[in-house]
Amino acid sequence: MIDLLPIFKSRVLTVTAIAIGGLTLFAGSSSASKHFEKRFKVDAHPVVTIHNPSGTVTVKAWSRPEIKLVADLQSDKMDVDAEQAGNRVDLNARAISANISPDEMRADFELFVPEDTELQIHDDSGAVAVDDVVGDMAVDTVAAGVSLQDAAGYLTIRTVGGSVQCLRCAGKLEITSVSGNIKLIEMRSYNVRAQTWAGDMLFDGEFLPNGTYRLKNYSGLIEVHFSPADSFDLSARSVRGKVDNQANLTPPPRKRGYEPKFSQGFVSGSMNQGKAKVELVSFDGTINIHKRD
Amino acid sequence: MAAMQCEIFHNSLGAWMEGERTPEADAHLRACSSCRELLADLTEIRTAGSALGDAEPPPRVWAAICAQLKQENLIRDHSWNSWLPSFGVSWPRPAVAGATLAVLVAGAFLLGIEVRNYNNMQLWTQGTEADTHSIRQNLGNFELHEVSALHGPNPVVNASFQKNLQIVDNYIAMCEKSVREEPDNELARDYLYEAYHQKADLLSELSERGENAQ
Amino acid sequence: MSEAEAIRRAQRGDAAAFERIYQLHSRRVYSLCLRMVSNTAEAEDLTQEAFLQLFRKISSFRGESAFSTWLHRLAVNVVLMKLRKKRMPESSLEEATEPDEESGGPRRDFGAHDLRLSGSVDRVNLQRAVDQLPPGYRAIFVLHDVQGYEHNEIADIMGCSIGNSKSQLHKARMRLRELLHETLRNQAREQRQAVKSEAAGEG
Repeated sequence: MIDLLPIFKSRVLTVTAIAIGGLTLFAGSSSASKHFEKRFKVDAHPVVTIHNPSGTVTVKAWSRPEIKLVADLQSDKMDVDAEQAGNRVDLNARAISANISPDEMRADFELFVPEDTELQIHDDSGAVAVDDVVGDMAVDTVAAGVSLQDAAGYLTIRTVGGSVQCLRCAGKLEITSVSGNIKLIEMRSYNVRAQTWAGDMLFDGEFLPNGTYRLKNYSGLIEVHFSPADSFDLSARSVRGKVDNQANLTPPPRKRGYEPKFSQGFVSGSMNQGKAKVELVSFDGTINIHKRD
Repeated sequence: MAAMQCEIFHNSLGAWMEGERTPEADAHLRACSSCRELLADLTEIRTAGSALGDAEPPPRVWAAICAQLKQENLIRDHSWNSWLPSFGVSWPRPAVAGATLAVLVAGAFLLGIEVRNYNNMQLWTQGTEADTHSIRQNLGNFELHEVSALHGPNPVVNASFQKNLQIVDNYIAMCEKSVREEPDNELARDYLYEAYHQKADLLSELSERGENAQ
Repeated sequence: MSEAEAIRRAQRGDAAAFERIYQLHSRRVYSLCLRMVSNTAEAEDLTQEAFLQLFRKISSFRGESAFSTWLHRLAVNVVLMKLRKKRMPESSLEEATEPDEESGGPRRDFGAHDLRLSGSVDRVNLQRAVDQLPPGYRAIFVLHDVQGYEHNEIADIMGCSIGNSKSQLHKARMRLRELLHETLRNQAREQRQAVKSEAAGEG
């Protein structure tokens, strides 16, 4: 099993821990903190954009046709621009003083949105958590970790160093990171493309018929769990690392001229008629294809 | 009273310009030179706006899009080995390294795709060195300019960029070594070009932050 | 290849279809981006991002709206997101209504006879003024007055009501008027100072 980072533990605990840690850290701050609440009435399929340089962004779905923002700013040197133009709401935390310390920059957002909201979130450091939202989503962070639960739609997540966890997500998923770990659990997506250079990857979910699942890293571990009833066409290749396969695969017909050269570890074949397509690639890392317990 | 009428007219002027006219508004316009001048100004702005016109994007924009589509396998190629090294997942963002740098990286990647035909291996080997050197030089020059953005206001972000740039630099070095040792290794070449692309993306992000800080 | 055929084929990954869609729409999308950010390199990047998002999502296009509307909605979202990330230089109404430095007199009213805009709005001044608009106003001005979209189309693209589109457009034009008047005043002041300096030098 992958040795998971703390951020992969309970999401509520994680976000709370960060918030508590933040309060502790900023207990001695001399700038007055600010609390900000605003509501926006919206129609179906609203668009919400959030830009937060530092802090947590927590988004939850609710049944009201409105967007509720609750923002806590660590200092009065920060402000929140909250603008609505029709069905689009733009939220932007920004410094209003040039003389601001990193601690004073922190802003924590909590949002309640209709479930079909399209989200665009940019959060440099802190944590992003989204629950039960089924509109399209684009999340972009540097060091902030990202956690999606019961999300669906076209989900695009990009981090530099932040780790990513998706639980019970559906739709089309694209995740890229330089060094963050990527953990995908109880997934029901039909199209998953995930890549990290230095992080570990875990996929444990359904392989839907005609689905495509591509995981790629340079080093680190790629681990995929399957059940005996799953149906997929697998190709797993590691140039310098090894592939540990527990799936009972029917090898593909030998193709003339094709040799998996330069791969220390290579496995390909299909299981139960190969209805989904699974491609796992690593340069230096280990690839595990393990039976689900 | 006249001032109030002007204020009411100003509120309805937007609709008036869309053709929604009322006798009261028309009467006020005839009587008030100030509002006539306001209307003339807004009409001038509307006319000048329509004269700004359209512009054609340069060919490099399509070249970069095309390269990205191929890299993400959105363009279906039905040859038997199409799923092999053209596998790469790329950033959802555009080639934000600036058009020139992006096309350089994209062009090198395209060259990599084309030389899956083994008949061109010699050409590939010669071409690779030239392209790799050019890319490395451009990335190096770009990086020198962007180092200042590593001292932004958020130390967590600065540290993350520093650490991840170093990670990517290490991977570039390892991939270059692999490609030198095994020039036939398509996967190594793909990883190498993706690493360049990744570095370009990180540098471009830093460049944007540096501009915003000024 | 018609647009409908290109969309169908692009949904199956046809390279020529992608190119056809690009040919049909790139000029409008690029122009929108250029007028919004006033920088060719950024406009190129944004155009690229808009089309890439489009091509990634094209399999989910079901024809609920016109394809061009869908594409322009994507493009506007991409641009607005970009502008949100940048710190926007916003001029304030107060700056535009400071007392005249020379006369020290009271604030001038806009539309003073010697500063009418008629015939004075050139491309450079107008683009500079557009650059200073808040992103929402800027988008609607570019879509309506520059690109010629009707309010019902803008409502679709921006996800707002037609009434909202009309009122935002009016506010955008009023703001542009303030900014252009300020520019004219500054230019007039510079000219007067240049003439005074010249006269002092000759004297």
